[in-house]
Amino acid sequence: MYGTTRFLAAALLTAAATAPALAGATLDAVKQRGELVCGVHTGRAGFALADSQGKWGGFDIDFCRAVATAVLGDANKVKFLSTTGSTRITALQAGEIDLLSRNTTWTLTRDASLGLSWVGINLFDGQAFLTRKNLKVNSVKELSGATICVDSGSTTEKNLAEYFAAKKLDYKPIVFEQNEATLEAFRSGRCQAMTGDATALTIARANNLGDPEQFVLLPEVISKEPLGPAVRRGDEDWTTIVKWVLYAMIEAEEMGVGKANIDQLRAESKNPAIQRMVGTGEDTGRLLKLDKDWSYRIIKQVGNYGESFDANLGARSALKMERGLNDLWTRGGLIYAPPVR
Amino acid sequence: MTDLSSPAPTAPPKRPFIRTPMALAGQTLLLAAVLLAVWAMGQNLDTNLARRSLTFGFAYLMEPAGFDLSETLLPFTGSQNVLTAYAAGIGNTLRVAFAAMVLTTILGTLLGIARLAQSPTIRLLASIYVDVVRNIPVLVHVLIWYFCLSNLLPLASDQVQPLPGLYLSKEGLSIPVPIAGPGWGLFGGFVFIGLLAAWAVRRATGRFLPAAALFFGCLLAGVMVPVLLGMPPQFAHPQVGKFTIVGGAVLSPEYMALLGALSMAASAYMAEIVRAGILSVQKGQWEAAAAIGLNRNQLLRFVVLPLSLRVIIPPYISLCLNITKNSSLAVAIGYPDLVSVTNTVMNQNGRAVEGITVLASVYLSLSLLTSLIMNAYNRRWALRER
Repeated sequence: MYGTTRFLAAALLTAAATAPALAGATLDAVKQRGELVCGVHTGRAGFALADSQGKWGGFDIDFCRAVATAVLGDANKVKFLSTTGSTRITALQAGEIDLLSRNTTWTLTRDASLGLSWVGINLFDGQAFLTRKNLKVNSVKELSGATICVDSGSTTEKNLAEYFAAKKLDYKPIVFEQNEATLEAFRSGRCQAMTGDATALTIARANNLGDPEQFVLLPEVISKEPLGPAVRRGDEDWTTIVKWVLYAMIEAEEMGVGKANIDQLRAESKNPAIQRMVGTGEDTGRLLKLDKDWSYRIIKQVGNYGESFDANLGARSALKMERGLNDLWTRGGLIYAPPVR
Repeated sequence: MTDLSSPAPTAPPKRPFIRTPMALAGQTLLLAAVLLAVWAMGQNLDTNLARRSLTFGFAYLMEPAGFDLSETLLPFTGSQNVLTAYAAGIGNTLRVAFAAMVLTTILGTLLGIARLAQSPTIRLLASIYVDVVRNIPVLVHVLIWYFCLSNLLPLASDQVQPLPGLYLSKEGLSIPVPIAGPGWGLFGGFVFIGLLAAWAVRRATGRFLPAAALFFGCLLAGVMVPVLLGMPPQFAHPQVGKFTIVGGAVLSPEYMALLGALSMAASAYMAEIVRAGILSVQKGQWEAAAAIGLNRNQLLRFVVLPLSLRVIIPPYISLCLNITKNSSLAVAIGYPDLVSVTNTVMNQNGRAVEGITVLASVYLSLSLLTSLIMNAYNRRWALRER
């Protein structure tokens, strides 16, 4: 949007003018404010979408709410800030948001040089291409000479350039600031193909392009896109908390602790590992500077990793995505958490 | 009778640069305060960048860009450095801004005159156009143009040929482009000779018609001689490719939409500027011109418009600067102008402060250059007080 440059400049001026209080004290700031400010997508079904009442829901939203409930006690004490691909990094750097839960790929450049820190991976994804069936294209290699629509501000552009240069294919990238503009340009036929994360393309095909049957996802996945939440570098307490919120959610699914049975397990279970998770055993929260019931509240108010995935992206949602790589390691996927003890 | 040999009036006494010691002290303090504020902001930025482990430096300009652009004046690939990418972005910005300025001037002047037409229908239509267009934000204009174009233009497989050799498709307007070769060299030579000869004839005789005839004669020779010699001027023709039209030069829908939207939005403002200029000419001039027998067109062309220029040019300069800055809306529709390129670079290596600095400096330089040129033109037309 026209506002992007202004927003970036404003964010930078805020960074320049901010009193020296934020770094090292995000936890205190959040507690004092009584609310977590979370950076999310402007609107992507399954990840972060506001419904007609203005209530946000989605996989990334669930993670924000999990952090909020662990720190503040209530999953609803979150303010969601929409960010575009270009503004999300600066918003986090400048202190506008405490947590970035927005499909952001963990890369060396971003980790090492932007003053950010990734807490883990909550979705394993890859870059793929969406194209029209009537073009009769079966592989990305046949896209030589095509015009391809891309979103600005992501690893997508660079991956696209490198892949096509390596395969010596010709192409024309049209780069849009707003995801909506990209979708519209692809739908109207301006571009022959669209590229992005495979999950995002699946969602777009199901929801935003009119008739899903006209479009097909090409089989090649040209890059690794490990998506995870990010926080500012330098604030060890906050990073540790957010990291263990993620791992608690994953560990809970592994242990079989979910929304439905957590109260029963809290009352009855004698298993020490489960007792730690439901808040009746050893107090892990104190070590994180939280209270004893932090993981209990996460599972009770938001759910474990599998429940969040199913409700937003998987079997119980409209998208019906397979768990695939995002399944637990015990079932052949890559989701693994260090022990919560 | 006035005494024409009276001595020239003496010049007024020179005013000192700074009037009093108090003024000097006050201004020094003000200047010091401003400099201190700027230094303090710089220090704050430094501290905060360090605290967030970010660095400031322009070394990244020499690294390979790593991304491609959909259209540039000169060929650009991802392996070239970031500085070249910025240059390509500036080229694209200038390309659309300059064309928009030309179109705005033409369209705006016609609209301004239409708003003062003698026919009430024309006046009404022009007024409606100006009022409606001026009240819609430029971004909305850009989006409307772009999504209309991208939806209405035909697919490459059903492309439309408005004229033989031209193709209209979702790729844009594809036009044949000249290929350098002996045919064009000869043609260029003849054109040059023709221009020289025409200028010489004009100087010699002071008449326009023989000069023009000579020029067109040379032009004709320039076309026929290479063909007779068997080296006709070559063109690269666009052809229907697998997905899009390939070959030739192409005006993309992004470019056309941005150009159309910028020109349309700015021409509404230009119309009002021109109308103000024309209305500022004294009624006496109109009457005098009519009295010496000029018809309405001659009156406008020789008397009114030249006089109205003195009022038109200053706001016109502002309008041109606005057009240049509004071209940054290209990010909304995927035209790779300077802002779009800067955004991509900033996102790929996080250099937000340096990126904004480059962006601000380039737009500042462009604006200063434009106003410098236009002000020089303005001095010619400005009202001189004696």
